Order: sequence, then C-alpha cells, then structure tokens
Amino acid sequence: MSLKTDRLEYERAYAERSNQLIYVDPQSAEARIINWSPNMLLIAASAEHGENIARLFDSLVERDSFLQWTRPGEPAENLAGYYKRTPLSVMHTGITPAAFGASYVDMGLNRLRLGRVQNIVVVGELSALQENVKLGDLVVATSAIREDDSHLSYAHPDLPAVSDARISRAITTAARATGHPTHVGVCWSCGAGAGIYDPSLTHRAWELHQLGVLGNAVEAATAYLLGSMVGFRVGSLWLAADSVFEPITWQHPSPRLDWEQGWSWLVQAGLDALALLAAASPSES
Amino acid sequence: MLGGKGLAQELSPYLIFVHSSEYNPEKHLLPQMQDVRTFGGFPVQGGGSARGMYRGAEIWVVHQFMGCTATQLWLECLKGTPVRYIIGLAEMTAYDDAVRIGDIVLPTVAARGDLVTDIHIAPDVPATGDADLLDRLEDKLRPSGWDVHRGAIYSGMPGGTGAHNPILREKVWRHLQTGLLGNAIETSVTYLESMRLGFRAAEAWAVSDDIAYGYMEHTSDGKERWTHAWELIAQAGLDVLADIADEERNS
Repeated sequence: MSLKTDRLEYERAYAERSNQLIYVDPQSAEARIINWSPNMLLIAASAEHGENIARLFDSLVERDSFLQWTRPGEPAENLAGYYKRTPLSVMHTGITPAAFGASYVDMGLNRLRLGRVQNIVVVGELSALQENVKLGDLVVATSAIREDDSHLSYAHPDLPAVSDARISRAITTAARATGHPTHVGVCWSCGAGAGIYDPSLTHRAWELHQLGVLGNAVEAATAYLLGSMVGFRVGSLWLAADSVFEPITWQHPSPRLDWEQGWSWLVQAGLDALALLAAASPSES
Repeated sequence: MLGGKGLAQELSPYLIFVHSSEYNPEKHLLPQMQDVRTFGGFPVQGGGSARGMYRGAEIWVVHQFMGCTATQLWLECLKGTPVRYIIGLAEMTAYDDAVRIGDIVLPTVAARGDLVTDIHIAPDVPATGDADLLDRLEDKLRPSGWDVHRGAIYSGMPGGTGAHNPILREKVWRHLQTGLLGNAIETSVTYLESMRLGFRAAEAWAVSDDIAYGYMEHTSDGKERWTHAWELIAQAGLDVLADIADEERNS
C-alpha cells in the first residue's frame, strides 16, 4: 500500500481516521450531553466557573468531562440540563487555565459533529481595543479578522469569519437585558501569544483601533469559520477582561476574571440567548 | 514585557521545550536528571517547568500543551533570558505510510500553515531548524537502529483534530504529493521565533498517529513504539544539550 500513489486507498484511510476522530460511544455521558439539545453554550476557557454555571440551571441531567485529553474528575467539564425550563448543554473547550486559542475551539467543535447541536453561543474573554469598551463590558462579535493559528488550514484567507445573524441578534438582546454595557461589532482574532500586547503589533492594533474594531477575541474566527463549514450556527459574546487603555492585572491562580467581575452576566447572557432561540424555534428543541 | 526578571533569569542556556498533552517529560526526562526542581504546577498538562542536572549540565524543561499561540507566548517569555539552545520534543501526525506510528521525525523545514509568526517574520522566510542541532540529534538517534526520518513537515493544523479533520482531506493529499512527512503543529513557530529571538533550535517528534493506521491505540504495537520513540528523543535531547555544554565548558 502506498497512500502517496493510491488515491482510493488514501480516501478510504482518511475517511476511517476522520470517523475515528468524531466517534462518540452512544452509551456515554458525552453522547447524552451532545444529544440533549440543539442549543449549546461553548465556554472558550477552562472550567474555573463550572460550579457557578451549574447552579444557574433549574436542574441537571448530566455532568461530565469528555474532552479528548481529560479524565473523569479533571477540568473541562460539560453538562446538560434545564435552564429556565429550556433544555441546554454547556461545554468547556479549555483544559487548563493556560489553554487558549484556535486549537481548543477546533477540538471542541469537532466533538459535536455527531450530536444534535445546531446553535452554539461561544463565550470567553476579550482584550479591548476601544476606550469605550471598559473592563467588564460585554462584546458581541459579528465577525472576526482571521489572524489566528488555524487561519490557513481551513480556508483561503479571503473567506470571512462571520457569526450567524440570528444567533448574534439573540445574544445582543440577552446581553443588553443584563443591564451591562454591550458593544456589537467586528473583533480581531489575533493568535499572537501575547495577544494585542505584542510590541510588534502596535501598528496593527492602532490600525484596527482606527477602524473601530472592538477588541481581540482569539477564538472567534475559528468558531465562526469551522462552525459554518461543519454546519453549526455560531455566535459569540465576550467579556472585556483587559484593555490597551487600562493597566493589566493578571489573575491568579487562574487568569480568568472572577465570577462576580463579569463571568456571571456573561454566562447568563449566553444561556438566555440560547433560551430565546429555543423559544423562537420550539420545533428544533 | 514578559519575563526578564525572577525565575526567568535563573534559566540555563540549555532548554528542552515540550509540546505534548501527555506525561512524557515526567516519564522520560526527569528520571534521567539529578537535583530536579519543578515549577508552575508541573506535571499538570498545559504548563510547567523543571530544572535538573544531566551529565554535569544544568538543563531546563518547559512543557506546554499544544498550539502555535501558546508556543509563541512561551518563546517570547524566554526573550532576554540566558537560553541559547532549544531542543523541541513533541508528537505528530504522519502523512505517508512510510512513516509509521512510533517513528521519529526530525523536521528540517516547516511549511508555515499558521499565521502566528507572520506578525514577526515575513511570510517568505522559511521556518528552518538549526542544521547543527539537527545533525547532533540524528547522530544520537541513528545508532539505536530506530526509524528516523529527516525532512520537511507542515505546521499549523489545529491541535486535537489536525490532519484527521475531514475538511482538510484535499490539503493533506497535496502535502503528501509534495513529500511533506506530516503535521507538526508548533515547529514553524519554534523555528521562526528562535531565529528572531536568537536561539538555536531543532525539534524531534515521535509519531503518535497517521493516515494509514490511525491513532496509536489502533495498531498492535503503536503505544509501545510511540513510548520507545519518546524514550529515544528524550535521551537524544538531553545528550545533545549536555554535549554542547561540555564543549562550551572546555572551549
């Protein structure tokens, strides 16, 4: 056998590998979670706030860790339950507090291929590029500038990474209902390790600031691009956790903001958006 | 901006940089070293570091989980530290069935499929490993008789799914036709950022999965071959750095 010269054999082997990748044991807790509802909240971060998120639900039907490299009892927790009487599920893409970037969103979305999930709201933290986007503000990313580490793997650079309009509208409605300042617009998915604070990006950040780009939401581009290629409807909501206009305060031991500093309303807005979507399309649920 | 104070200044010039979701650094590196100290939650997946002595040389180990973004951040943190030599160790997906699970790949050049380093280095600059370090790694590995491949790879397919993503079938086919050995996500960032920051870097990868056979668990001896490959690259990495330290001490 030579994969290099035998296209048919290559096709067979590749399909087999892909199927292995997305296979989910139908008897597993993972299967029960991804088949629970067409509406999922995807946390583009690790599971520091898992307990608080679980408490927002009326009741839980399943709670588990199932990311590829986690083991029972480790972070990256996921759950299914009723939120305001609506069946919803939650998945974390981050495994450790340091986990961030396109790779984790890629891994998370691919685990959902065989489930019931159709509508996905991604929530995470953002670095603000506009002075009026204050720490703790909410940001709805309608589209994302593709400069992350999965950039060239999926599609030609001229393909835009765009949120689903219906999901974005539901997120905006839910975010504004929290009473916290909410901004809606274009974000930057910058894959640089130091994000927008990399000194090499000073000019780029200035240029995007001038264009009104709201901030850096690292995982948005991959979530939108891969999501649409796989067939999900994806929107995202971000919590401004730092800003070029304010001194950075690193969080310890977790880099995330506290629950009371914004995650509570970020998550609630995401869940409320999904509940709104479910109410608008009861046949899907 | 990052590093430059405290622990960073205690680093030695000789660093092993691990990109892996597994516990191989603990299993294959630390037991070979003496006077080991660990930092930052090691061996927690996704971050941590350790230092120890090996053949009279102080070697540091930095372990990150995966991805170009995190790799770039770690390397930026090494800027302005005493680090001068980096041996990267990791596991990768092979394309060609001639490269089996458990084989070792020494990437000479990485096709730049990620965009992370474009912010620092123009896209026409090839991501190239340090030839002397690659030679040294190869010299350490060849006597084992193990299958070692040296050549160009692709970097940038997202971790976790990578080359098995159905969306990437045509891209991987084209890579296969051009002779790329596989997808080693972080190599391009490691090589390019090392060029920029003044480190000399080379990497050695253990093949954990491939197109022909799938994951290591799907072949009868995949796990054993992969584990042994990790033993070999860990040993080679330590020996290469210790050799250089010896030479520098004696020069």
